[in-house]
Amino acid sequence: MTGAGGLLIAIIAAALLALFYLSQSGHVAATGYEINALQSRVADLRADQQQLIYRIAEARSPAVIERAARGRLQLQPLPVESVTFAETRSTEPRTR
Amino acid sequence: MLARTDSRGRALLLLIVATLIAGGVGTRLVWWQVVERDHLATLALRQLARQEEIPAERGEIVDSNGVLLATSIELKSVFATPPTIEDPESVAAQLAPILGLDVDALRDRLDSDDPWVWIRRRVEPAVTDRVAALELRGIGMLPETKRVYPVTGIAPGTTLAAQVLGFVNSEGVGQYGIEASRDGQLSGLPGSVTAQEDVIGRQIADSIRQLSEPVDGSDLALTIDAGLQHLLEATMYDTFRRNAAKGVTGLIMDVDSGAIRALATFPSFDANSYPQFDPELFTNPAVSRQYEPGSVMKAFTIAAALDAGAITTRDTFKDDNNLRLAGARIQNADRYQYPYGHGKLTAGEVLQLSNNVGAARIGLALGRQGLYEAFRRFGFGSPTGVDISGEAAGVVWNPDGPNGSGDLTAAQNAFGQGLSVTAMQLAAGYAAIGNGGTLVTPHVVAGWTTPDGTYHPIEQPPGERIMRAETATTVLELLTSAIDDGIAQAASVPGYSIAGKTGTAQIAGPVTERVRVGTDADGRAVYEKVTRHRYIDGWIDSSFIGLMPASDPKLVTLILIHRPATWGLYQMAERPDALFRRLAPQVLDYLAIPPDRPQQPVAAE
Repeated sequence: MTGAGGLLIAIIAAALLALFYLSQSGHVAATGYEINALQSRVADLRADQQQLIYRIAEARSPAVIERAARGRLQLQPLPVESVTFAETRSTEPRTR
Repeated sequence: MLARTDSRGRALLLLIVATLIAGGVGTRLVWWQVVERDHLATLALRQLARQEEIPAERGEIVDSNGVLLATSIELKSVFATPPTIEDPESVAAQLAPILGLDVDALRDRLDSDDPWVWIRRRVEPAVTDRVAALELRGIGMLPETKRVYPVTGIAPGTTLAAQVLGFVNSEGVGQYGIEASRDGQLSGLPGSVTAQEDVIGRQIADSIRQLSEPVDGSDLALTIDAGLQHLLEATMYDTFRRNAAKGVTGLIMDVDSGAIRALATFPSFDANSYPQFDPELFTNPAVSRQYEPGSVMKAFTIAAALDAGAITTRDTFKDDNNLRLAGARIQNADRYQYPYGHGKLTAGEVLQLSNNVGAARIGLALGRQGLYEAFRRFGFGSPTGVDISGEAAGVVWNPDGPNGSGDLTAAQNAFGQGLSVTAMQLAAGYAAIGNGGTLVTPHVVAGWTTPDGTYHPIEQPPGERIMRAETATTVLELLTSAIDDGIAQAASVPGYSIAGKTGTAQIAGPVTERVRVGTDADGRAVYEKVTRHRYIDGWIDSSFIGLMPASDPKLVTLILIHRPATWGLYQMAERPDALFRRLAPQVLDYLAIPPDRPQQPVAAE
């Protein structure tokens, strides 16, 4: 192989390497934007999840439950006098 | 030949010029690339890269059963860039109704010279969705974290245990309550990241460099039980309205550990929208308000005298409704029914009748320094150490000190006047009577969970013994008889033994009076308006403290009604002892504490 031929191959190889580098850089950048978009989506979903947790905790508030029980379900608290505690005569487990 | 020579000369000249130019460019390149490299790289980074703080997630607060009381959510805040808005009138007209803003005020903001303005911060997702759908030029949204308190209170416009929890301000700093006292633990440490950005501000993926990881805050577990808190709040809010009171405080504490199971105060607020409320509501009166306690102190006077061996339960003390000390006269609350007193009373009868003269004589039998030292030992005049911010110490004057009046101070202190305490101190003191004589530290934080999921229970310091166990047992029996046979029978609870004491004290405040200061030249009286600090008719603090069940106390419950408009010991719409009778069965039932005086036990296998 002549000197000029070697030089040409070297130039072509360098050009291919440069193209490869550029394509990889572009690919990395594009993937980066995809990651950003996915991270943004994760953040949105996480915010939605937080909202749902908040709404559940709000709905479980004793005051909310009491209002619903008294209003919508027409329930009344059990009179305290009607509560009786059972006295256990034996602590032994029952056997069949 | 000559032409060839000329050509060589020109070529040489060109070569020299080209070499000089190349040398100059090369030298300059070396200068920029090598010598000035770091400086230029820094300048370039400043233009392209941004260092951003990665906020740490603030820890959650849960109750003793894991019920979520405080958490953080991400909401979007709406902003505008006024210079890019072409028609502020139209944009304001579209945005204002969605965001609940005044159209004219919003148009003025959009029409301003400011490059960037907030329109409304931390908006509900449903609202931001509607804003986004408008696709208005010059209007944008940024995510921001908001601290939220999901559990609704029983009173309209309140959240559960608002004064216990406190809140977090718009800068993310805990204010009042647990949010303030445990701010460092809850908030964690922010991290930081640097990244280069493209022309529209997006981070370039391979340029992101994390400088430090954020350390999220710890989750806190409280001793508060949301169910019990609700019961207490419902009862206290009811009496707050019925008595048209200035304020009410209710507290339920475990006598053995000092764990506060419920702490309710009214008026209260909604921690989710705290800026709309008077900042005076943010402090917790159970720890910050000092007041004259009245007769609930008689139990401590008797405990101090019994513990020192100055009296026995068989000793009697003369009650003639007339104890004169240093020019002052001490009388009983029932002076109109019993103008000459009750005769000779034992310590138990002093508690049953809530007798001032008898309590004063017991205090004097112990001695003024002995009573002062005992009260200080019982925790009065010092903060309890409760983990709620803003605790006051109360005031107990040394009878022989510059603010003391000798025996008069001791006699007044013996029945709860002339000193000031906090509700928390009283509850801790009664807890000591209930647990055998140990002063425990009241607390609302049970432990914390670090981000790695490890739970760390808080070890409370061992309580200090402030009276002998026998003394505590004796005083507990006397307090039980005060309910069974005394004037506070309204506090008795069917099926349960209760030990407790009522207390009512007038409140001092500034009073403007017309005072004669002399006579004028014609001999006519001259009057001036003078403002004095004295007890005000109609201003009272009425309280009850109960230990239940008295046979083996588990809980101490304090109820305090501050300045009921339906004034008077007998005219109040609902007195604290009667309120206790309404509250206690619900609490005992909720915690499944069986009756210790069962009336009709149901036999079961």
